[in-house]
Amino acid sequence: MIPYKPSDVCVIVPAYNESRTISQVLTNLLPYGYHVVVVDDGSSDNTTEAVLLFPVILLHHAVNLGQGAALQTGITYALKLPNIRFIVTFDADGQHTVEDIPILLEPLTTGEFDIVLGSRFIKGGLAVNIGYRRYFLLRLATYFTWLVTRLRLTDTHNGMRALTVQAATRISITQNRMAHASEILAQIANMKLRYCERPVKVIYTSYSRGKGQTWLESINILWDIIRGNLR
Amino acid sequence: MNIQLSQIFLVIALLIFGLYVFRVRTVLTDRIVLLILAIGGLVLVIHPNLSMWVANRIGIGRGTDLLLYVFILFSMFNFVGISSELKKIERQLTEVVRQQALQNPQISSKEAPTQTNKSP
Repeated sequence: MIPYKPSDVCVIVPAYNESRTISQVLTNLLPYGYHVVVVDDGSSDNTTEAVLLFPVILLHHAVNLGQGAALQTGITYALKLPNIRFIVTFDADGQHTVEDIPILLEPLTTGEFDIVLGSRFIKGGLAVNIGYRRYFLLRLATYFTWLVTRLRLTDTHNGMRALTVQAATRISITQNRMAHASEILAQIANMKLRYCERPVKVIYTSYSRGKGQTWLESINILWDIIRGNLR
Repeated sequence: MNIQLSQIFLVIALLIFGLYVFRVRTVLTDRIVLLILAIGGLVLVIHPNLSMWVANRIGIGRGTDLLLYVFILFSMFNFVGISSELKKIERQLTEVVRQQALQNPQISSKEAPTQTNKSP
């Protein structure tokens, strides 16, 4: 196992109209000493002003493209930074826990895995105040993912992931909106990247539930996946 | 329920259309198909007797129905072409917005409470 320094890690935080939560997220993140790249996805509130109070790198999409596009922008930027070994994706709505980042990084340091996916449903993971509808929807998404990609996962739509720069170079997110989660999994399956899941805690608040996916949103995701295959 | 031959034919046609849309099509093939359909439609309008004859031969019945089907086909190919073009434009927009974002990283002027850079 090769130990890592915090400066080997770049945390990417895609943010769209997150002025209410982004300050707290960055306050929690910064003491760890990771590089932090916030991608403001064309927010119309004062997310950028809030971010600029912190010593982080802020990238700004001139128009709103979607979370997938913001993640890819952040990843492309992180790959240009010198001496980065690992890239972590982290949601800006405050439902992730910073203490989980080292747990996700640990399997990468042994060189056995290319990508580690956060799971709130695996043993040790937690989904606080999830609500039965969301729970059922996420289970359904997990089953759907198994049908299509044959990946055996417990949580397919978790915003927390850690990957090596080698894996990040190979993965290319073309799904600008919410279908990127499925797209990343499909690429893991196609490229036979070595993956594993690690438990993470996801804390739902009325705020994050309001920003998250609903039943109807899953139709949008399916539509985007089909559209993505259009020649 | 008795399935008619024309229904089987229609389902197969839709499957072929799906294959075309997701695997085969290019802008050029779309345009060739659209041109053929447009010229065919024009000919059918100019020669109503011909459209009646063709319609009867393939079991559609009326010549105007045949014309309607030609129009539906034309619309389907047109829709797919426009969707694909929009997808391409969206991809280009993404690239432009991304390049602009990457070229203008903003770093807070405020002195860092926890310095993340590797300074001596």
